[in-house]
Amino acid sequence: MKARVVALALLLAFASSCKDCGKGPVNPVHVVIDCLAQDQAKLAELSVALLPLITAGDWTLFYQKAKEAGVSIGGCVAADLINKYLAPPPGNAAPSPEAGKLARDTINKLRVDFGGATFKTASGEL
Amino acid sequence: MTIGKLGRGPTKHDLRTVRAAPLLDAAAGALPAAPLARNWSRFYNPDGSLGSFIGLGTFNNLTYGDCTCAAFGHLDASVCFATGAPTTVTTAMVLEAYDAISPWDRTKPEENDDGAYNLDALKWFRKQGLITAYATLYSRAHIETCINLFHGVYVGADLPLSAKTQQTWDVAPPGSTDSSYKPRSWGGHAMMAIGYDQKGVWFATWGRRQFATWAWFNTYVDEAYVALHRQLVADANELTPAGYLSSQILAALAIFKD
Repeated sequence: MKARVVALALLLAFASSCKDCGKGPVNPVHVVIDCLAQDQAKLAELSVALLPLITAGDWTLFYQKAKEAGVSIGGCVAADLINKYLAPPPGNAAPSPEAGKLARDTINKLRVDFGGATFKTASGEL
Repeated sequence: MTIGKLGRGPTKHDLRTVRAAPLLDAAAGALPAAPLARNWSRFYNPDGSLGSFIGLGTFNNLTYGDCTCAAFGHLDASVCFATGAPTTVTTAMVLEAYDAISPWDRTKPEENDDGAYNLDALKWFRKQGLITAYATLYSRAHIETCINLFHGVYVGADLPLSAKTQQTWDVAPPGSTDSSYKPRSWGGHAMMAIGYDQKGVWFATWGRRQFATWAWFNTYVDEAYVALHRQLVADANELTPAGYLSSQILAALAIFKD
């Protein structure tokens, strides 16, 4: 009898401490957004809105607006603009290490919000 | 798909080789953030978009196992096409290097064509002045940083047989027991990684570009070096193709003191 009580107590303790155990491992599927297949007008519209924020260094508002626009539009535009900012056209200076880090942090944060998505663009998968 | 010869011996260790990782980490605040993608196998258009492909020679690697040396021809192309400087590494120079660092003899080319070691090639090209420094790399973040800043990362890989037929080099599907994915089941190969994105890496090899996923890179690449091409630090006041002054890079390059 005593052994049964102990076993029951152990079972209850295990069950209460392991609420998620029965759900199995979480293996999020890696999402790749094909930016070339998105609504180009919407992408261009958001680009026009976000570009001045990069110039102004307002990464907080940049992040908010990109997130609001969602993974397909906001994610594609943010990734593309940040990549071009970090890899400027030939003959142009790249941002300082501090400014570049803010840009990288912003896309990393958005990527987390968007479930780890990457973005297929003409520059590669961003 | 053009397939050439292999010819990389197992990783040779030399305790004197500078390890870049702790130095790059210590200098992290001063190093520029790498873009999400960089591709030196193509020209960049004036608007920053990717343009046409640069020329990548074979350096006779379709005939001889000189990949350890041919990779420096690809680093040279990666730097010189972007900077507008004339390329300096010729096939004759690559063969001279292969002759010097291995038992292979240019006058009897069919004999002893058994490849060479990456580390010996690095030393030879530094002695010739093509590169001014080199250091070992381990992490993906450092590899991205170094491809961006220095136009290439010199790698040694244990190629699996599966790479012979794959368009994109990738790892075995989960649960696969296919022995063609076994590292070095094909052989050792040296290449220059001259581009990357969030999916993988662009290698220059056998006169062409070859894309491999990061999973492939992490599985089959077992040595990686950053090698500083002299052209990138030729003029301290000149903006490099990555958008940094050579003097900035040189400051960060205190990291490569040896």
